[in-house]
Amino acid sequence: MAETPPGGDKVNWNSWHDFWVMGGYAFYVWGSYAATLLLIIAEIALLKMRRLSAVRSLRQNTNTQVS
Amino acid sequence: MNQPILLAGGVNVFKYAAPQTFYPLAGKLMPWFFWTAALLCAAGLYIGFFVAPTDHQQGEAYRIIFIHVPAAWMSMFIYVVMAFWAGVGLIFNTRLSHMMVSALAPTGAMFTFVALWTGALWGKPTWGTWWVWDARLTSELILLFLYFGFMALQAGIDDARRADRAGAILALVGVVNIPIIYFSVKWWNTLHQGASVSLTSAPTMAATMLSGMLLMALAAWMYSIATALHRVRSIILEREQGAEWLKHLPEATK
Repeated sequence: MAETPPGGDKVNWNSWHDFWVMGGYAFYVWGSYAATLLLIIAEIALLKMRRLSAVRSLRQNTNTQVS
Repeated sequence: MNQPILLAGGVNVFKYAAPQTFYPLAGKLMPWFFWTAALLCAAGLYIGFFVAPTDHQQGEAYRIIFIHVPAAWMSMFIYVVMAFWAGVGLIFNTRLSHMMVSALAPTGAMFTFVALWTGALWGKPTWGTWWVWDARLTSELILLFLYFGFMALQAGIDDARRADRAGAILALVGVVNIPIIYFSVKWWNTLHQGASVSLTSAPTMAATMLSGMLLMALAAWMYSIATALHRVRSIILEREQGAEWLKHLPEATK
């Protein structure tokens, strides 16, 4: 179990090109990671939108009741 | 039936069951969970892509494992947590428990979809097919429908209390699907491989692969807590409209 230390000589990839090709499985591996990333971005965007609209209606309620 | 429960403010356990006390607490905790998730994810991806070696049988395709397994675990675990809060909500009639159930559902659905999607992209190069109607895949698809069904049910009922109760019952009934998913690879002859990691035996994978996967699982855990806390805060604002304490929040007066 001789593991290469992080930042040491690379065992997995000889170049960035190698990395992106992913041993011929680029479509499957990056397709998985890209979809997950997109969904996380979408979820965070939806969370922010929901928060904004909740705060907006809270302010409207507060203001109409004060005046 | 509909009387609001009196929350015992003095009892520690119930103190944070009041939306009023939970709302600021959730706001304080949320960024910590979010950034912990980001750090764990970065560490997990680094180990997953640069430290963990190529798999002898599957080549680089196996690297899908670093999202597939954590997402699948999370999809099941979130549902169990939802069912737990649904039960607490039904028994103690606590508003916040029901809000927590609603707050968890979209994130659970997201992880279920990720598990199915990455599973399809993993199945194609390793099994030669995107999809097969075997027990593991089918029960996970049913889980996705349970999440969607829960959200549709809640969205379809105008009265919040009735929506809460209906949703809670669906969450509790649906939880029987979770052991079916988990044990499906044991109970039936499935194309899906058995568990690589279990509580009772040593994991059947390289230590670096395992540590990358566990870091990603922890990241998914922290992310789920962060999103649930964020969403439950919005739900509190939506549901508690008109409550006096809301008017004194800094975000109400700014």
